[in-house]
Amino acid sequence: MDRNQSRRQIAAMKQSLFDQGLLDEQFIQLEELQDDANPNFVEEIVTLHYRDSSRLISSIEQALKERNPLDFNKLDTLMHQFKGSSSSIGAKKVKAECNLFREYCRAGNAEGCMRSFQQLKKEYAALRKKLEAYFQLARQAGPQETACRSK
Amino acid sequence: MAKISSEKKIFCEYPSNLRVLAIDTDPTVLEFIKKVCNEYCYEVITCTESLHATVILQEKRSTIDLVLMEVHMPKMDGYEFLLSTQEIDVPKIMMSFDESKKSVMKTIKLGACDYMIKPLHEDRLRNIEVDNAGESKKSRVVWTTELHGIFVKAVNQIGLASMILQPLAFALFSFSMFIQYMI
Repeated sequence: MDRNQSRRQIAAMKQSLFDQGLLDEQFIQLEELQDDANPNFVEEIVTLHYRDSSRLISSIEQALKERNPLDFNKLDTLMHQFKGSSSSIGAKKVKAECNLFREYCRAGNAEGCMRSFQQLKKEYAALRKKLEAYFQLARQAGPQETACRSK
Repeated sequence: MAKISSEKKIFCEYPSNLRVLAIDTDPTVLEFIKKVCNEYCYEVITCTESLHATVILQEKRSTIDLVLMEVHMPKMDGYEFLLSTQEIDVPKIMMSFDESKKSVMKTIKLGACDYMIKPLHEDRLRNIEVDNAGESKKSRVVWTTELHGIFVKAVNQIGLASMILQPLAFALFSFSMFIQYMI
């Protein structure tokens, strides 16, 4: 695959992530910090995020198992951290699921929390997979100009 | 688009290297801060535990120019940190996803000189640092209780909304008031 074709594919992939509402402005912020000295900065930050957030997901899962009754405060605190971490990489849809989860926590709605968490894990896994594919393609294409802002 | 690299060159020529202590449990935030600081040749010490951070600040107080800290930390939160380090005259800027007025005002009353809403933007970080780095001679703003009183008065006058929504304007206003206190 020639270079230009790769770049077009990468740009299209990224645009699609924005169009689907999976990523927001913050992702662009990260890209703007990427340069020749740190050509994989965004990928590094995202990798850090997934390492940190998978720990949080396990903690939330554990907390959800400790029913009778559910510790909504603890869940809310954990989800607040998780939401924060997701916001740092611009994970828009995941962030929205976090908000929903926290609403259920505040309402003391255990069923709602469980359902929302399942949905959140799906969104989280889906974005992770797409970002992995995106970065793999980006690495193959080699260093490229920082992308323009996607609308 | 205007690239950072040409601006980076200008800032690296300034002799003053700002030394920042960044405190957060989130490694992505710390990486982000480190990256922005590197662009402008500032040194960063990162810390993920507040108690440890108080020790660092106490031991190295004369070599740290700025503290950036997340409000909601485990074991010792930002409020407690501010209380326990009140006598250390190093500017402390808090950050958080918590946008509540309550949180912002609480940190200010406890001695914070600014509050950034996350997620962090490079411009926001850069604007804070530019004001400190613009000196040709190395100088530090010594944050005294007197200064802090003026700051709280400024917040009340301008209003909290301005402080959060127009951070640059607010920062410039504050610094213009404080310029006579530069040591």
